[in-house]
Amino acid sequence: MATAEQEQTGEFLLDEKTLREIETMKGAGQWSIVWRRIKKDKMGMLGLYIVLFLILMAFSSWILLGFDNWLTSQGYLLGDPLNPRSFNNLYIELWLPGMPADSPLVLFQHPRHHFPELAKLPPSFKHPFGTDGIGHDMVSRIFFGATVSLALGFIGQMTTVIIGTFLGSIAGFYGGAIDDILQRVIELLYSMPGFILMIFIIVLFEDVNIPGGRYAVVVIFFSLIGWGGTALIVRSNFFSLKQQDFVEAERALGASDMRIIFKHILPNSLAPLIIIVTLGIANTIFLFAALAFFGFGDPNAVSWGDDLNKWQNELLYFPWMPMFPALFIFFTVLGFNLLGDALRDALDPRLKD
Amino acid sequence: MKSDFMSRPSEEVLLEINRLKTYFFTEEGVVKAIESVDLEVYKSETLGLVGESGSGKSVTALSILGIVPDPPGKILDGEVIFHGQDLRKLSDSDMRKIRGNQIAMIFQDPMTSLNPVFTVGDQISEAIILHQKVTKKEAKEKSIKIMSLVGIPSADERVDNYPFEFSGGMRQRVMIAMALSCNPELLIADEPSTSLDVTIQAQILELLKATSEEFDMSIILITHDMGVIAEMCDRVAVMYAGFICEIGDIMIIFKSPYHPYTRGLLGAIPRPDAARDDLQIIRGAIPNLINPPSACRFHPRCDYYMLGLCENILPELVEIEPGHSVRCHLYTDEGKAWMAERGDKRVIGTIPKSIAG
Repeated sequence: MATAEQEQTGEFLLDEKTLREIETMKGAGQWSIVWRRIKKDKMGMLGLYIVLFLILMAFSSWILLGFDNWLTSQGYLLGDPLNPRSFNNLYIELWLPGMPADSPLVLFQHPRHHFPELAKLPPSFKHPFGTDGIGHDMVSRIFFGATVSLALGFIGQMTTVIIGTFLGSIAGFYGGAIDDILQRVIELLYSMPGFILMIFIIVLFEDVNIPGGRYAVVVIFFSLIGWGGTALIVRSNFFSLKQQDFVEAERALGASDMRIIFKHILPNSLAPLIIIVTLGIANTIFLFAALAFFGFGDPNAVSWGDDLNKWQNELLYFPWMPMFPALFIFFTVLGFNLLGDALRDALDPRLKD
Repeated sequence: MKSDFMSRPSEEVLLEINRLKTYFFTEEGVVKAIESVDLEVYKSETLGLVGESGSGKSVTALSILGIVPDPPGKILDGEVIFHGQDLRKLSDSDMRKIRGNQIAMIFQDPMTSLNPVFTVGDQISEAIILHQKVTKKEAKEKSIKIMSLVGIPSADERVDNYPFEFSGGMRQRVMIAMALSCNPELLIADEPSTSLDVTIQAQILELLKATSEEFDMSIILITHDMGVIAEMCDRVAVMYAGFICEIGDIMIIFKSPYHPYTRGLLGAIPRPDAARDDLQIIRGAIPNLINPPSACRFHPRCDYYMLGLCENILPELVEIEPGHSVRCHLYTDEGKAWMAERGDKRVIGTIPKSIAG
């Protein structure tokens, strides 16, 4: 826009295109450059859409289930939470103020309720993904299974990354004996086959009763043994970053070690951490699904991995039962991997566009 | 050594360094970076610290603040007395209160001395918040004020810019703003203008000079540029391989340097008006500090080398005249005895033409 103001001040006029370029240059921070690069990457955008779709699905199913129970407890919906044959426990309904309490809009069959008379139905208009061996609606199982499947991957990965980042930064910053000890511990963890170790731990803690069920045990031990890779990457990043002049300048200003580590160096190694988290979530979801597939999940949980495990023998006769959970695990891993790869390319400082 | 500066009242002394010794313990061996540094900085003066690369200028600066990278560096001996208290005996948290608050430092390369992921406003504000009880908003307002003080145009807009959006000279101004944010009494400027081009250099030095007068602040200016020293400083200390070899008033040292090394440095400045052959050199190169020459570390390169004396006995810092000390055997009793014994009179010549005039 060539504004009147410019004409008045007698400055030379810039044409619209140049002004637009200046406008885009203004937001030329690191993250807007990264965003521009991802937008150019078609596979990366596909991954981003898949991931966003799945996150939306997990959140909405979580909220819907919680909201449904809350509405019933408030008396807005027909049904008795304690009675398993009550209407509320058969379906997930949508109820808006003004609607009669006895005829809400039925959205899904309740993921935990099954109708034996509806078992083993192939995909149809009423049950788009079919029904499973005992009469659960597969759409409902997939939709509500997203919460546990994604949350497990996310929580598991975040805990390993937080532990790994903390230990890696301390070791990388101080070096010396702390670093040596950390390296030996990581080598020890790496020398054990992770998957078999996980199975061993799950079997060992089978009877332990803690809130959150068996998956809580799985996540806790997964994060206790899985932080090594993150720690190594953060550590090597700190080794080069702590030599930078701004660290010395910050010291000369009187900043403490902890402030330098967590406020100044850590934000500088955010790029590799984002890649670790994105690619790691895919691996973690895959690992938990694999554990469930081999029967080391929680049979009471509504999750894709457990459904896959339950109906794996039916693959030849009723292919839709194991196929849809497997398909969604596949899409999740694919989406996060595509997004992670795109982020890795976009955050690479050697690339210039 | 105490009598060196009797000509000046002692309460003016802001910082006093005695027998400072810093070594670096590397895998190749022990780098004896600073062997013995003694100097005093007076209130509101500018002291130049000059010497070749690797003579220990920057390590002296880091040792004053106690931020020598450890490992491999270690301060082994000496006192750093600031306002009557020995900084080396302070606890880490007490020392942090002094760093940036009473003694600030600016660094050689403004391109890498700012954290790339924070806006300059954040970084200046942080320097303020670290030492003063102010809210974030007050700190930001103060940063804008300091930024315009150090000559950054439209500071209220640029405060939200990232370091990469600034030029080298502007970044150095930001560094100076950070250093000035808590009104320090002593500013250590480690080659503040070396990585900038000549016109910007002049601006930055001008700024330092103006702010030091405005804030009534002492400066230790580290450089290897004799021209900068001549322009900026009241006194100058010449360092060679971990020793202070000459210290004194700038006019005295530039007119009649007593130490052979100072003489060599001043003689080696190319001048446009001199004939081509007049440019003098100092023979050899700065020694490897893992295995430095014994006693006086300058003796292998010295034109006035006294056989059997210079490599065996380290000369004391001798006061030639009030406020002017030299560490060289040409002026010690041992050296005079040596010369008398051999009937070999060695007198240091004058440099052809002073650049100080």
